[in-house]
Amino acid sequence: MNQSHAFMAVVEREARLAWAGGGGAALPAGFYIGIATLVAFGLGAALDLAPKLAPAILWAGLSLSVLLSLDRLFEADLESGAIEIFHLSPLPLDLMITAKITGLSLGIGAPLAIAGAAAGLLLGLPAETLFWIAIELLIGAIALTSLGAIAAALAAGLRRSSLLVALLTLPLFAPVAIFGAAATGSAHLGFAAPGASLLLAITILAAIFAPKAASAALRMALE
Amino acid sequence: MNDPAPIPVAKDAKTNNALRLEVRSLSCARGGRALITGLSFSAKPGEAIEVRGPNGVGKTTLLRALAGLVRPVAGAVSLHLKDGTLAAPRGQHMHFTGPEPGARSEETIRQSLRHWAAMWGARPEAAEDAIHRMTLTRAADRAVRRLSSGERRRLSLARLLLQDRPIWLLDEPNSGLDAAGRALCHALITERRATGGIVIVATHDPANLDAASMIRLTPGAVA
Amino acid sequence: MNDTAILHRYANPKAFSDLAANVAPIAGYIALALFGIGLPWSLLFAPADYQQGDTARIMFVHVPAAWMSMFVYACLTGCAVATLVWRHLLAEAALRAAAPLGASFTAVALITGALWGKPMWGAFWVWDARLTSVLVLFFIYLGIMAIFSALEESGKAGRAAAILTLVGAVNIPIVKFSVDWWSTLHQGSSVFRADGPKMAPEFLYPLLIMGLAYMAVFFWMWMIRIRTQILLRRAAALEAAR
Repeated sequence: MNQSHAFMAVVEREARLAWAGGGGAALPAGFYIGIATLVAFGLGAALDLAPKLAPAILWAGLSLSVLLSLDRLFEADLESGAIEIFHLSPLPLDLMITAKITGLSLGIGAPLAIAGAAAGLLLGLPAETLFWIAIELLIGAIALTSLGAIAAALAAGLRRSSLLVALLTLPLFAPVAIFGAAATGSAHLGFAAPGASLLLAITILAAIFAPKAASAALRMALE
Repeated sequence: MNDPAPIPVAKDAKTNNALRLEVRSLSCARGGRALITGLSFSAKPGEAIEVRGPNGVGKTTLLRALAGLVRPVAGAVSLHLKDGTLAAPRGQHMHFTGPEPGARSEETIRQSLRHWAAMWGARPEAAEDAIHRMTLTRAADRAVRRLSSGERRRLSLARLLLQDRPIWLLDEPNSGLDAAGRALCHALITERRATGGIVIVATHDPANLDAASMIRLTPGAVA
Repeated sequence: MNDTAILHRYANPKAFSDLAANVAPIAGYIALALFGIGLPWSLLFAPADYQQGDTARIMFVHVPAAWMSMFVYACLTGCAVATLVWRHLLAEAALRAAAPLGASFTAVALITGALWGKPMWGAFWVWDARLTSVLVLFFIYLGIMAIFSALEESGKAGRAAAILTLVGAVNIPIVKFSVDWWSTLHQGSSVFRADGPKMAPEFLYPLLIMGLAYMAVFFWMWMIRIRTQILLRRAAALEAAR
């Protein structure tokens, strides 16, 4: 079927470019660990607080790292005219955006999840919980990328749009960060942790509905 | 010098008048300003149309409206295919080349063409054939950011060869090309017309297409 | 004249502008009157709360502001739908005009809530579901305002803001029901409940008057701001035509 081939082609390209192009996946992952380290330095003498604060630091850091990667989603393709050519392909715009989000999540999701688990270790979280934390961060990264796509699409085509994207993503990221931090706080409970099911729910909802909102916004950016 | 690979020809190379591009009372605006008002024309297989006018008059907007990338303020564009059906959406039956290469600066020529071929469900060899025909073999693994403007233009034109589509919308196809490049572009256009396609070229420079009808856009009106 | 004809007549920006010019002052006077009744009644004549004493009077400022923060968002949602479905310039102007008003009401609610929270809970701020979701609402308002200011020249601001408004509308039921769904520090609903208000009349009536007063102020300012938007747009069009 045309559409599934086209979908996979977009996913593959986005993942490949996220992984390899312009610093690749190392950039957001490095940034993530950097933030966690900075906060740890900032805590100074109060370092014994680190494990308690770790959930908040991990999710704030994840949000910032995803935010950093969002401008790859649409800006470069809009400038290079690729979005217009996508429009002339068998894939409808919202599926194309879903594919892009999938590709980007594949490209940066795993590195961020691993970097987050490593940061959790640095911040003194127990080693047994790190696996669940990585899973939660991975799910969260998918949610954040989907929701961030809305903000990126709304600000697409604007010069110096990063500030606007940051402001727009703030209310969109808040629920993900809240649920995620709650889940990570009780990571030893795995999926029974409070917030974990909400995190999953918001991820699924975002994955389904965010592309539609983003495609409406992107269509406007084309005109 | 190897023989260039031929463009994949349409199965039925006889001119079939059922293929028709019709434009009725098209009015387009950009940034709130009306650029084109009440334009009507129709195009049959083998025809070429030159859209002429100074910069900023609306040539690109017209092409994009024909492709369905922008919603016109008024009027309608319809594409009737060879078997008499109405193509909706019509974008998949059109190739569009604009000033940009349609690939991100870190993508190579080969990667970009393979991606579009995969996305459109074209034969996998189509990308290699296109590279060969557009004499991009030596630059094929170079990233877009390191290409000359002629090579970028040839990359856009190479997309035309990936899949057989009846309508070509070319925005300033000759810009940046040297004499050999222009000859190549001219040959492509001639072949597309000879195999029953329709080519619409926007240019502010005489493109010397044989027996082309002309649409001349002037600021504030259309002739 | 039947209903749809009336709607179409005032959907014309010029007609609406004239309507607004007449209606706005009326709303203004009503607001003045309602505040004239409501403020003294709530601040002086209503009985003091038996637990909190006079501090509880801040409720008469805080609660209507919170009501308005959600009511204005409901209006924004209506304008957003009209903008996206009918591309109506008046709806865009109304959306743009109402957003800062909603943000202001939300800010008043948050600030007065914090001032009330200190004596009542001992803290200016807690991260419970109600306060957090209202803060998110505030950021959504800011985002809408930011879109209008950033996308000004491109002419796409209205539709982009409309999309964000609709996306953010998901938050409104969360704000409303947060006190029911999660165990929060914030008080549960006492007025807008399925089985009727649970509040004593001596408090309920001045509260409702204040609510109406806030609503009148909102309409007064909204009409003025929409009219200003229409006039600005007309001035810009005349400039461009020159």
